Amino acid sequence: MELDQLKEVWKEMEKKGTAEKNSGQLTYLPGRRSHSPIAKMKRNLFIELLFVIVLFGGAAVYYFIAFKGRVSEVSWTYIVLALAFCVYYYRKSKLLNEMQCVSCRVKSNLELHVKTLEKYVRFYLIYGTALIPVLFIFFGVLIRYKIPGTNLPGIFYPSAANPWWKAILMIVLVTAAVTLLFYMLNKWYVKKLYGNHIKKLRQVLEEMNDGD
Amino acid sequence: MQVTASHDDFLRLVNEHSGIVHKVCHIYCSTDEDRKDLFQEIVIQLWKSYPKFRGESRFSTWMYRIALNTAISDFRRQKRNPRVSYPDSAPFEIADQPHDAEKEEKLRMLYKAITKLSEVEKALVMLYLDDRSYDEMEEVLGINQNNLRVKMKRVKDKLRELTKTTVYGT
Repeated sequence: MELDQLKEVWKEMEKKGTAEKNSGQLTYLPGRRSHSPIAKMKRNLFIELLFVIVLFGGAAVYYFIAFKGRVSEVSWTYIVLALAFCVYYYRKSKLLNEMQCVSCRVKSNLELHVKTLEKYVRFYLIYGTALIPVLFIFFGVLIRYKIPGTNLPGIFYPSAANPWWKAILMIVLVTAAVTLLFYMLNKWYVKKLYGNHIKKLRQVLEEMNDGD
Repeated sequence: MQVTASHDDFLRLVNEHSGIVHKVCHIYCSTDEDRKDLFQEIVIQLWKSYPKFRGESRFSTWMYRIALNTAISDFRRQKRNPRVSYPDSAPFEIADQPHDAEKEEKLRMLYKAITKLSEVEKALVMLYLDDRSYDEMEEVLGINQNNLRVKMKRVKDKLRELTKTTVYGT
């Protein structure tokens, strides 16, 4: 059985069936929402950004109003953190916009897709992990000094029984452990989300390059 | 008014070449639901890219690129349907042809064999069946022509082998 024998039948597909199928379908499709993975990633990113702005912005406003400006540094820290998240989301959104060129040649689009997706994953991992110690220390300081009545273990604060270097060492160790834990979790999550896809795209690309 | 004109032009052009989208959906998906999803996604991508279409290449070439790029890079669909899924029957377009039973069976087997090919090989077969020149294949895929010829030969051999095994049980 030769491939050429299928040619005639194949050509018929152009004429048969498609006209009546298209007439109704095509008219309403252009305005619809894309369900491509990149479109979904963009939508999720936007939801995350809104969540962070509402949460951190709300906390900043709360500290300004509830304590009548006495602890305004907490509010400002929340605002700075929210800005750091905005930078993070802006960069991610930029990478998502650059990830695909659907009207380019298939090979160059694949190269672009793989390269940008790997950059995206790396950024997600590094920046996402770097934010953990910042948040950890911020909330530690906040709970210790700004929320009355809460008691964190004494090992984190210098005192007569606990020299300053010991307290700092404990903070560094615990922060490092939490950061490492989040890094591992992030790495597992990212691999689960994009690992197979990157692998598959690389295979297709390798096949295309084979013999070039 | 301009938007409407552009929308109408778009629909007319896509309608004229809609066979391309249907073929891509048929060759890359094994269930009706997936075909429908992919068809929808390709049309959406075509519409989003249409304002940037400057006519530097043929409309069909441009359409092929978008359809194949969408089909190949859509990992959600690929994940849901591993490549090794074979249709139980030939697509309706093939089944509807006035062939004799033996020929129809062979065609069905050939179609089944195509589903066993890799993503790149599927694209090659599709362009070949559509009588596209090696120039146009290069324009769509970005693989140089010498390499395309070598790959095409390999695909033909592979298909011959696959149909031989399935049809005649050798």
